[in-house]
Amino acid sequence: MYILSALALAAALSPQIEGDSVSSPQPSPPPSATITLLLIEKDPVVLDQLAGGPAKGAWGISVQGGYPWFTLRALIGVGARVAPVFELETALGRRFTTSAGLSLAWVNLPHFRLSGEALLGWMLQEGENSRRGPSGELRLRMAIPTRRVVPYLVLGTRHALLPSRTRIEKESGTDTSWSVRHEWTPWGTIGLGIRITQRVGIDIAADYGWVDAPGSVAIPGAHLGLHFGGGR
Amino acid sequence: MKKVLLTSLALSLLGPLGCVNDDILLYEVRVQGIVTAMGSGTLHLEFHHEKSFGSGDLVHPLGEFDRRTVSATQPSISFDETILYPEQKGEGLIVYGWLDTDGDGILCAPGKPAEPAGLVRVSGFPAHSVTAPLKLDKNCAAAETLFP
Repeated sequence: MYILSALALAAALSPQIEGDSVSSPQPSPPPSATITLLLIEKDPVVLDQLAGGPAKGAWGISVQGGYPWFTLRALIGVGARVAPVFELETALGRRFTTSAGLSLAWVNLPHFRLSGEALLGWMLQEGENSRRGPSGELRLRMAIPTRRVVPYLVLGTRHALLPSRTRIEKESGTDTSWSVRHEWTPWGTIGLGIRITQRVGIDIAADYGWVDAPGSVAIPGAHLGLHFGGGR
Repeated sequence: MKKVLLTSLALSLLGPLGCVNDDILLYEVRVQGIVTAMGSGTLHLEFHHEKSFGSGDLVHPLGEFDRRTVSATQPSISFDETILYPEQKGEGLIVYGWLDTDGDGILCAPGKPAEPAGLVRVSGFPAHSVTAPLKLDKNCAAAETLFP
């Protein structure tokens, strides 16, 4: 975040205009306190999308694709570094998760941001090993932004509840019982965001999502992402 | 007509989003039987589908879904078991049994005496109560050698 004195900057960079002629630049006096205009350079979209917790009015959309995960993520700041977040994620078009939740920046310093996210949604997996049920995730996002790049880390714990039904046909009628299995997916992403402009950025990262841990084998992945937005 | 189409469309869209993962359908059956065998010991019973997996020429005979043991110290052996038959895994009901005369839990272990076995296809199934007269007259025979 950079705080600039717009007047001082304008005075330093602008040519001096006297009547119809333009003179060579001259040192200007310091701006008066009463007319100093503060311009706050807002955070780039790539930082907000990767680290969470955008400022009020700032919005962004991320499209991340790779193996095996593809993600569409949207954030819009509503104040106090709180932002509703919407995500649509798929693993190779076989497993889909739709989630909505909140993103909140707990620490927001010029070169460090830590935020938390809580999401609820629905998981659907098609194919031989089909699964479906409500899902939720708690996530930590940390970034160390510099002027051009945003190294970042994401740690998450995902949970899905998979209900099953058992019906027993007896002579007296049918008894129905329900059971629920818990599926845990710990998640980690480490990557690097690159600011192209204030409103456009990209990122490259390695993903480690361990679906149905610990009884399965985790498949490491990687993705490239495009981030764009506005309100900043 | 329009309503039916809209309902069908809604169900086709919502169906995949349903919340049921495993939908297990079990059929409760009480199986009673008199066992004809020479000797005494522990009666090992296996309950099989008559046909399981595949269809047509690729159908697989047998498919065990439950097993029980019955102490058979009396000359007249009978059993009365209530089982849960998985309806989605196959069709038909087969009861296989063998008599563990030496108590080692193994059918005809090397160096041990021959043990009788037999199999019956339950003709009255599906019904919640069936009888399965089991004749153990084949020594050292596994279910796969007796059926089909």
